[in-house]
Amino acid sequence: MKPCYNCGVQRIGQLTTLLQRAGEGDSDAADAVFAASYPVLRRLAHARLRGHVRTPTVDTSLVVHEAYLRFVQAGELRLEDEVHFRRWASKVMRSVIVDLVRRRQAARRGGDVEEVTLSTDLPLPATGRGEALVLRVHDALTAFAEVDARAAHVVEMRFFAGMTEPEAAAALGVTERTVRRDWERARLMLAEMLR
Amino acid sequence: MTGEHDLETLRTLNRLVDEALALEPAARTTWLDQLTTEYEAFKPRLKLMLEAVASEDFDEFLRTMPELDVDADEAVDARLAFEVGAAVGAYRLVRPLARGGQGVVWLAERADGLLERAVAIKLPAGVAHRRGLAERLAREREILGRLEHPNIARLYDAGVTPDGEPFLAMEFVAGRPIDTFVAEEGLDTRAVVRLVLQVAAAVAYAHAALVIHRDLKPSNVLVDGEGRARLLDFGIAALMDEDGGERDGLTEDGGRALTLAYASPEQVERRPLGVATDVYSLGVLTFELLAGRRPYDLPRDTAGALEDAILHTEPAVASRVAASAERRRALAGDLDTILQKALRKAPAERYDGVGAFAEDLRRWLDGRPVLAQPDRWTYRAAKFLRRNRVPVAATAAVALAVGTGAGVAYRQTQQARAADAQAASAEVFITSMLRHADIQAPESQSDLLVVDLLRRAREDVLTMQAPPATRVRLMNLIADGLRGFGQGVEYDEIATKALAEAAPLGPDHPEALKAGYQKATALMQAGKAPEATALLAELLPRLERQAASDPMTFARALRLVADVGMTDAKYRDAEAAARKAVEATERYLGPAHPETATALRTLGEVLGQDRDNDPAQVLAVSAQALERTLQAHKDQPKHPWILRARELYAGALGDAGQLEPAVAELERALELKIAIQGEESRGVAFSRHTVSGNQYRLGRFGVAIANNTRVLAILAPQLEHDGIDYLNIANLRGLMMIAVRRGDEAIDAVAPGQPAHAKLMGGAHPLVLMNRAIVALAHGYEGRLDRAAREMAGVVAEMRAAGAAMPPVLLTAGRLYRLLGRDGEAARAFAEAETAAGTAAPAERLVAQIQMERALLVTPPDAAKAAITQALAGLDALYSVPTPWQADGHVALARLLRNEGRVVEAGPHARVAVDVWRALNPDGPWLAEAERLLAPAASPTTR
Repeated sequence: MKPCYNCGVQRIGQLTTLLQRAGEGDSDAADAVFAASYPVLRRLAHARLRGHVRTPTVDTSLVVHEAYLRFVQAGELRLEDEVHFRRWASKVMRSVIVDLVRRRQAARRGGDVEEVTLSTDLPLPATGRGEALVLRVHDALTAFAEVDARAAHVVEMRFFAGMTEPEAAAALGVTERTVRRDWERARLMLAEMLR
Repeated sequence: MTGEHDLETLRTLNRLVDEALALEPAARTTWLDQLTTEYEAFKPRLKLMLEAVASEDFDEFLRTMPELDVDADEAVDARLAFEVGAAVGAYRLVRPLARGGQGVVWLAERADGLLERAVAIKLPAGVAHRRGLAERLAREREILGRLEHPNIARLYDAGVTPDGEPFLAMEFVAGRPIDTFVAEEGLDTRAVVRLVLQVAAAVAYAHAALVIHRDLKPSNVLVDGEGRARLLDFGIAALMDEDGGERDGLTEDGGRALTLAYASPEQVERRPLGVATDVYSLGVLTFELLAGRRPYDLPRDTAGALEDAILHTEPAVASRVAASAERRRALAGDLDTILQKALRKAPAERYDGVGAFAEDLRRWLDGRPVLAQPDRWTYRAAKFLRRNRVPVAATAAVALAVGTGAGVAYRQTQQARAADAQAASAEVFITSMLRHADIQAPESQSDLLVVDLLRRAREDVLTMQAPPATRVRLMNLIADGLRGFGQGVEYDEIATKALAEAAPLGPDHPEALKAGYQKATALMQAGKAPEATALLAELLPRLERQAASDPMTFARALRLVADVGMTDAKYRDAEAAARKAVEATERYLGPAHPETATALRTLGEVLGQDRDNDPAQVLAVSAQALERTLQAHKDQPKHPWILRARELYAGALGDAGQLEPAVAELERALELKIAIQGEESRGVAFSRHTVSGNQYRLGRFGVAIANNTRVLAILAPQLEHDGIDYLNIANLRGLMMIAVRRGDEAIDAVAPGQPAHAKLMGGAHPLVLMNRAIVALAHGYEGRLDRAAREMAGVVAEMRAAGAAMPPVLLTAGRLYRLLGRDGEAARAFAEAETAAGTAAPAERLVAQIQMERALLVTPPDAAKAAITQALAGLDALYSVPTPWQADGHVALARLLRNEGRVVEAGPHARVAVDVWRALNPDGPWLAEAERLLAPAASPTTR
């Protein structure tokens, strides 16, 4: 059955088809991929953060890989879909991380999210609390995506989904050199935007 | 901050940075100096940026995900005190309800006011900061949160506060403890039994979901004003009692003494627990409610004496200790027998599950003979053996002699536990747990409690001295369980071990073959399909030779081959294996066996995966799979596999292009899901969302909107409103509302989520732009024409900037232009939409709508009539229930006919439109217009 417009629930075995269609520019399919993978990635990411040895960071690359394996086991993805999946999963991972940080901040502060002020006179926001940085990068990236969608996607893959340069290059179908250039430029732009 | 950056500046900066970075660092200063004056304003910024590139800070920037620093925050909030108004998770404490040795219970409300229902927050004492507690709570929330039953108080949330205090947020039940209720209401025997049946139903439901209560007692069963019993604290006992591997004694503190009164012998002895422990505790509870006192007559009321009584004293006979003569008469006979069976010391001798206990109570209510038998001779023999603790070997021998096998062998003292007895005990436990669990049910994964129990059983088995065949058999059983609960790594470990230990048994030993199958499954789960395939190739001929004696393993191995084939897109191999599995199960297990139905479902899934297959053939197999599944589970009409089979069939119908029957089947699946999970469960709400989305596609807006409204009623208080799930539901509502032209309702649905949606998807995402187009058109429908035109212009401009032609946006824009009387622009938008939509099947509904819009723009009457009639035919073929778009066509035809004076012929057309608008939008101008065209006296209408 074709995915229903805007529906959150998909039939098993469809992710492969959906990824293909999403890659061909079918936005309904992209939406369905998002809806199908968001809960899985969210659950896995949360599990890592609350794991036995509580790691303070989420190894998002591992989370994406784990999600991919789950989908393969469930027969929703084929093994060869990994590159394709990661390409879309990076966007989902971004939402997962951002939602996670927002929720944690909200829970910690009893609901009112308080903006943490970062140093304004240093050239780069390298210091500052991690969670606040994530949110600020997210906001800046949303604006930057309007300017340079591909470079923004590279940031999603590298920063939010922990992919390497070769992986990002494969996912985007461009050379590693292009990815490296996008990545450097995007980091510089974001650093400037966050200043 | 971001907001200060306008896009044009960023775009320029980005281009300049790209240029600069392409140069060698040394050449950059020169480049900067040579920039033309038009970029003068950028120079200082660029200079800073290019300097930063060389810095170490920049090197690190965004390289790794920053620490999400939990601990720093915990230090800050460490002294968070629990007092009125304090925040715990998403809740605010209102007033304390109870305070005791086990902790404090507060009445609370959602801090954000989203949920009006009151919530009980339990803050257990003495468990804070235990290792792994947060993880356990998180998993608990997932597992226990799934328990949705009218007689179970829902668990809404569980977690750890920033300073490490665990909390549980539960449904607040206003009621009295069951013993108080029974006493105060003076219930008669039958009423008490009916009340106990409510409790039993809840416990049986939880067992099917793989959760043991472990702490059934009067204070955990509240009865509300309407006489509905509600169980509290499901599975919480396990959560709080066993932490970090240390099992606390039940008598650890005074607060637990009451609990001990309902504890089973295996709890007292700290043996593995199965469902039988709840049978026992429910037996004690029922005994107390009926007889007015507990089953043990204690000389000294101490924990030690009580433990001793639970382990060694035969329970009293209820009818002999009840207070009134009348009650004594009611209990004598069957109720005595039922209670005695529930209170047996040995778990294996009790009722085989709470369901069986309840069945006997129902039989008693109906006056039918109960199934429990009063003391059989084997039971008395066993009691004799227990009283005269003979050496174990002798016990085992006698047990075999009296022919009860494991049941008696199980009854060993702890001091003299022998290998066989241990094996029997482990087997009793594992099979008891697994028999009552719906292992394969898709939603019962990773149940913490059962998994913990399985792990403990595994430790027992691994350290046990027993013949290899016994050990391998037990390992296979445990492996079955671990697999069912999604414990991949551990499953692999035990499967590997079982396979290794099976080697001396020879490759054809049934248990060795089972172990091989387990290992192959583990390999498959680890993504090692080639290794799995190799192992299966070795196993299958052996399994096939033994198919008559173990058809299940043979069929499962074949289904595994089919799974591998599906994963590798080797559909022919997968199909061959699935067909063989069907054949073997049909032959050896019969067509009505559940495994046969499962094999058929696998075949249906295999065939459905391969797009090259004839959809009609897939449909036929899926239909048969559904029929067989229904047959195999005809006594369990709510079995999850039936749901699965219905969904499979619905998918096959959809793939065969039969969208309407597919939706009908989805609707049936939804009914079933409601029956299984209850109307208000999240799972049902999400399925209902799918159904309503498909009803929307079919143009059945009335039911689609009704379903969407119910989905929102259930999920709106539960979901984050800026999360994708909620936005999807709200956006679907927007689509529906704009289709039926209820403008303000469309805006209400879509507008609040727009910023979050844009943030999630990106501002130029087609769905984001579509939502903005919906809002613009909605303003138009509500008569705010200027605003509509302005907003739509913005949407179209952004779509152009994104370099895309999005058919739904263009169609929506065209509809607004037509409304505004800008027919030329409308025509261009529709033409572009139709071209962009293409002719592929998924777009056919969109194209049919566009063709109607284009037809409505045709002006010469005859040409208009022809175009509209043709467009109507197109829509009628796709939408069997008339939609607003068909109503448009019929209104236009009616108008054209009346203009020619053919009032009578116009009537039926107007009628269609009147019916559509009466059902979907009775307050809008479209109904009035259609009704005017229905009027017998012709007053010439103009456009």
